[in-house]
Amino acid sequence: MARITSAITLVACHDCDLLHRLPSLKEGEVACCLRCGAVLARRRSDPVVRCAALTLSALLLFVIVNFFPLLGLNLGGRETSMTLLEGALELGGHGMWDVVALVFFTSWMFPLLHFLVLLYVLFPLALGRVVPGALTMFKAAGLFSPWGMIGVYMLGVFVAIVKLADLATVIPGMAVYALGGLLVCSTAAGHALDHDAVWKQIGRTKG
Amino acid sequence: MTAKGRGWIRCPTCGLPSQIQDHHPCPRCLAPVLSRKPNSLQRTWALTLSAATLYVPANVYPIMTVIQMGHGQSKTILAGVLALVEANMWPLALIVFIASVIVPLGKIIILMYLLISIQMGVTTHLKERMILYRLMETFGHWSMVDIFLVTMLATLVKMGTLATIEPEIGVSFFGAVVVLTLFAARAFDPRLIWDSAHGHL
Repeated sequence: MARITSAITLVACHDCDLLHRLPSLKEGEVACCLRCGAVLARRRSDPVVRCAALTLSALLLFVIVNFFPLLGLNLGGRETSMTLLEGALELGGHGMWDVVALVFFTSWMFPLLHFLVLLYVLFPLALGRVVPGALTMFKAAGLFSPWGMIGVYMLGVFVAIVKLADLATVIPGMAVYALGGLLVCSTAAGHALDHDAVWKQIGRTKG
Repeated sequence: MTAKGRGWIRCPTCGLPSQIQDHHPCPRCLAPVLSRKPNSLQRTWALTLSAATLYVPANVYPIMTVIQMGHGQSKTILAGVLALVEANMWPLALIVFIASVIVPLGKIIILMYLLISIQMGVTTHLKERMILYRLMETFGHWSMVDIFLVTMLATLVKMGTLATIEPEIGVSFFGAVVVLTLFAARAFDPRLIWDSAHGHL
């Protein structure tokens, strides 16, 4: 057991591999690598519950996003509108399935999977329970998160609104506001999550 | 002293350092550990060079055709930026220019510079090179903006000869460039910058 106990105070920098003995951090304190400056550890006040709550909000907003139009366009009385999913699948009509896959996964599938997988692990954990498969699911969350690009998509929406204003009347739909709220919730959830605290609770070596 | 130098391996999945061998399961999360990303230099070179090659057709071929009042006009990425400048939409032109030109090109150049400096065993500017690496990591995915934009415009602007926007093959190439640079950045191991400077490559 001595080896495992010592491993807990030791931390290796993820960017330069320098080994550090980590001092015990107070709430809100951050430990940085002495050599390259990378953030090694950050003590959160509430590592699990806050993230779980924010992720649930993001998931509910994601449901709303999918039932309302994102943008509408009115040109001389003719109207068109699109939802998030319609936008992702549109290029299939032009045979560009590679782009369809890219947009569908980054703007729809990966964000959704990320929320679901996180909730599956964190919600029971907030109640003090470790669900079966928690390890695999939390690993999956780490794989999905860099490929969810709702933030970039939102910038695209803003550019589209300004660009199209020249051509026709643009009608921002309900889904734009829901998507904005979702972005705030998921960003805040990302900041609230203490990965190391979760690994400690669901991992095989306790402590 | 690095973890590797002491015989420790930081688990790439959960971050726990432990005294085990490569490919053995991490005692905490059970994922196989590796002290460095496998064949990082070769894989990063391959992905970066592929991205650089596809960057040419991505910029030569049009990404969309704008049909307005019966007139059709195909536009490349740069032509799209220029059109925004001509329409006096400077902030927008700047956003699209940074996201579609500066970010992918900058990523390819930074990756090549980092790879070459590692292979030449350069011992200076270590912190500066880490800043370049982090810049690339932070802003890398913003080049997706143009792809999202074209799909949105193509979905919305469908009013026959009055106004229609159709996607063109350039989007496919540009999408491939973005995905390849994202994979290249993930294949790159920043710890090699320090290993190489200390002669442990």
